Amino acid sequence: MNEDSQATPEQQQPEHQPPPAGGPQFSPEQAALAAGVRDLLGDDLLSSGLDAGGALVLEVTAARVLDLLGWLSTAAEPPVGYLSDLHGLDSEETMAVVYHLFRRGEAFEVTVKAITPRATPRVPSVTPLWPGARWPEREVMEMFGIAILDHPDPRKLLLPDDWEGHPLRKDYAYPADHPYLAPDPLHEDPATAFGHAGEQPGPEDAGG
Amino acid sequence: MAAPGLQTEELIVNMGPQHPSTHGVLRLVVTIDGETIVDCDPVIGYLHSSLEKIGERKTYRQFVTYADRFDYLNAVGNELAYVQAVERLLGIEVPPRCQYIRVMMAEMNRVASHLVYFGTLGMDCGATTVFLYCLREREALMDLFEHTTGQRLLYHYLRIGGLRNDLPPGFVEGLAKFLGYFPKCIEEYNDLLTRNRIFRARMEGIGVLTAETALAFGCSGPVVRAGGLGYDVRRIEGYAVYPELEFEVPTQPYGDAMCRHLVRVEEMRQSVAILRQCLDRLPRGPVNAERVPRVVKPPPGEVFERVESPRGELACYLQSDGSDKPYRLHWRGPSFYNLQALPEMVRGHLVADLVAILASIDIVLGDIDR
Repeated sequence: MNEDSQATPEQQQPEHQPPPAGGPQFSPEQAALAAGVRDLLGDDLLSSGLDAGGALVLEVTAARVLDLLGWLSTAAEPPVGYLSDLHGLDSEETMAVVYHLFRRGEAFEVTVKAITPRATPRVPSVTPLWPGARWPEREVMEMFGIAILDHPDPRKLLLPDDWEGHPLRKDYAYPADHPYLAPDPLHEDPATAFGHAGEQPGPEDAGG
Repeated sequence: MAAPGLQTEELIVNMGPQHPSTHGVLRLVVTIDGETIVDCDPVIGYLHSSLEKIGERKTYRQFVTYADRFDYLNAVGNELAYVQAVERLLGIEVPPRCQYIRVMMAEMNRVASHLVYFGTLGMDCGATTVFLYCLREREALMDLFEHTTGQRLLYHYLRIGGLRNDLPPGFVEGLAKFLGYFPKCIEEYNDLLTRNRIFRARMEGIGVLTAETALAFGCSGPVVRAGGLGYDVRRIEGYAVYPELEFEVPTQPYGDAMCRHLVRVEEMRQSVAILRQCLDRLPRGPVNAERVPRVVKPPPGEVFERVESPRGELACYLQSDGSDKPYRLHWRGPSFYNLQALPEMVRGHLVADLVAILASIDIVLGDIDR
């Protein structure tokens, strides 16, 4: 990157403009869809907003997520029926399963987050709607410890069968001999790091 | 299957994880009745390296080189998905020359990846020669990559807000020369493999997956396009400079293994067309955006960024909490979803067809296990 520019005043300006007062700026299509979801779910629709790419983000209680996804994929006009991906999310206070839906063959995206309490995380399986949810839901179960209710095949997917703990949780305890717990040589005293007494490490390589 | 009065029973056979035609470390637990496949259960995770967790511990800039390592035959595509996601969070626009070079690199990588696919498909079907021809042309592409980035497989060439360096002298001439003779090479491969009667007899009518079923399984890329649906993220999302370029999205009607093969052959021709247009239009100018902070700290937010990899829809989910490391990074590998549909494709087929069907999906285990 251009190192000379980093001290210029422009550098200090925030690149991101905070959303204007009055909430996110929905497009007419998104506003209509959000209104339809509010009619369907009422108070179970926890929030609606936009992400950095301009996609509609809907947060709902996990108990109603199947209703919402079923409505989006069939009853909504036009339907938002292609499930691109689903994955877990540990937000410290709550857990969530995030569904990325698209209108088929279009860039119109709806992100649905099924919010569930961290103590007893439970989310219904969406395999009745999309058979392709089978593997990613298995991954969510093993990586986050979120119980996927009525999953047809709740075995571990990527991890060994005897693995303990859920690695993508924020409070995951690493095994005592894990390399992450060893001191980081890059952050040690340069005089002793890497075993080179007194030798300076090379110029900082931050990948720029 | 059996003659009247003869008792048969199902047998469970392991294929892999060390089988040469499993393209890496994939284990298939196959239930067979005689030579017929009753069921197939892919067992994955042998290459799992927890890259998503690593992403939470590395700064945004540091992770670019890890992104290479998901789908190692498509390093540029991975970098593209990741840096576009970070740039979207930061609100950065990269200069046009950078966009063009990114597209060129992505298309070169697509051709190189399809060449590996073409060669290994031949190997899996018993035609070993075509592999050598494919790698001959791939070598020319690898040399161009090495000339530009210093690396032959995992390039670490794209940076947040730009590129590591501009194109070196001689690159444009080298690529133009390659594009001059490569279409003839595709014909040569077709003579060796695609038009071969034995090969066609093996590939036609096996592993049928309709576009409708494919989409329900989350499949994308040539697996969907072979079923007649022109589903291509380059068209849908229109990222980088793809909207300015003319190219076709090839489709085939029947959804079988041969159709997937023909789609990829045509995609190589389309990539050549895209590369020629890029060379003609390559603008002058800087390759790095100005005002990219040295320490990348995107504002809190999230983004789901899709690109078209040689295998299908590749996506990167990033959530930022305002710090210099991603709060959550998730990778949507196209092979992960495409492989999931394998049992649908192979039930009722012969064991020997399983290898050909698997090769026709063109999986990369680094993309699946992450």
